[in-house]
Amino acid sequence: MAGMGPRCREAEHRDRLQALTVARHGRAGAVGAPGGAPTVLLLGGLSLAYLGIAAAVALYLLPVGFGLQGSVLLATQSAVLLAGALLVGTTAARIRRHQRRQAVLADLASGFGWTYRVDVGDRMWGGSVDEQIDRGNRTSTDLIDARDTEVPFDSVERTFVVGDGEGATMHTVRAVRIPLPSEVPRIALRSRRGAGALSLLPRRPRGRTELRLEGNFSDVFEVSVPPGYETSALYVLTPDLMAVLLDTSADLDLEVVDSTLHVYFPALDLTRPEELGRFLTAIAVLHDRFGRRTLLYRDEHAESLDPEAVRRAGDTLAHRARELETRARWWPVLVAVLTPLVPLVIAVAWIALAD
Amino acid sequence: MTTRASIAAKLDDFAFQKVNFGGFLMNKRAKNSHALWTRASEKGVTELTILASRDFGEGNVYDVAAFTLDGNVPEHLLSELRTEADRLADRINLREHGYVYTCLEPWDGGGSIWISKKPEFRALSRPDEGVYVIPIQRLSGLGEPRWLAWARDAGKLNIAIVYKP
Repeated sequence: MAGMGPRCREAEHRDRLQALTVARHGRAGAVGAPGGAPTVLLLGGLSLAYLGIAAAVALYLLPVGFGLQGSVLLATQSAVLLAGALLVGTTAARIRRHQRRQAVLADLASGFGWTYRVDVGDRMWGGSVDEQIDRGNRTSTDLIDARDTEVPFDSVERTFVVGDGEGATMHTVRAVRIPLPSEVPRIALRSRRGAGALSLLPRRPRGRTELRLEGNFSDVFEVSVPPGYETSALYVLTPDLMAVLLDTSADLDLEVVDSTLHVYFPALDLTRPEELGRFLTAIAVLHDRFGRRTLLYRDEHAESLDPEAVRRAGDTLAHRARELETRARWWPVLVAVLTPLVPLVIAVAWIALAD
Repeated sequence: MTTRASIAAKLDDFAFQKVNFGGFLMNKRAKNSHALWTRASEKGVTELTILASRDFGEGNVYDVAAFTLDGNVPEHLLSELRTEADRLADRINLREHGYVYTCLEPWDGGGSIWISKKPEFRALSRPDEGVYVIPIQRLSGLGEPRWLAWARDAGKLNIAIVYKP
């Protein structure tokens, strides 16, 4: 089992996924139509809450405040009630869909022998998102903890806000951590497709940390390593690993921080078998290949220790191997500065056209 | 190069204790710590192993850490303790349990400090294997706690985190 390759694991995951999906559908059918009492209660509560607001608007504000009468009054009263019904229905459906998704995820997790937890906003995750985004501007939900399994990993859905005020943008990614057997210099692999988490962050690795690699790898990924650790990066990123990365994760961002491989997927719906399948396959392949490449890595620049001292995780790398110099991206700053001026530009254009 | 032995040697110096354990009121805490350290015959420095951490924002970071007096926490216990600490930190509010350990004080509060009444995280300790577990409130801006000074006085274990080795 220990020597099982990624292809076998992929097949195993596929089988297990299929079994779980069938079991889930079977159970849903046995229980009855999704929704039921909780949805009815939810809708009832929301409807009652809206009824108070609608009554005040329809029976007081419209006839007394706006002085509407006759058919106009009737039409607006109906519109208020219909809009309320639509709002309540949509909200209830979204809440229910979210609850169902969490229930399915919990189900999947227990089927695979993982641990599932809804809110893990206070946990420290590590990596560039934690380093560049303030604690108040990021949160983590839907933790899947599979660290005790054959392919150990844990994963959360991370939502973070980049920028301030009107120029701020919100992003959601699914972050995965895969433990590596030893500490390795920091390596950032940013997909040049530009939609990954590392492309969205306010800071990017400086140009002088960029490493050009053979073939078309550098056309797909921007590789950054601390100065002086280019050879170490080549030791880890062998041609076969590069081929695997191009095949399985060309649209993903990856970074190695100490003894953890961070992988950033786009926001995935793991309740969909095909997305879960791709997710697990990529993790199995990356765990296998990165694990093999980093197993024997040792940093020759690491601080020498007293012979009696025990070398722990944290002592095996030189300090400069852990950090990657970054520079600020200019265009988010420009957007943040210019966005408040947009209404002004529209007003000026409007006046100019009116004249 | 920072080692347990080098920090233990530095702790004999009151100036070093003032840097690490000093504070208001004429450095009373540093003076008490230094007196305790000097009179204790059984003492040393060990390393903390972080089991779980929680970030509550604005520099409020709390950890659960394990240590042994004579070395590292055995590998076979670590994953077990990490899982237990993580689960406990998810269940109860770590903010109500974390303590700063900024001068040599009884590891369990000694009945006089408020942490005496918060035994949940300490209960993860394995006394038979010499493994102690403590909940820590990090001092902001000083990074992850790593070094821990300990001294046994009148049969009681006293500990303090050394943030500036």
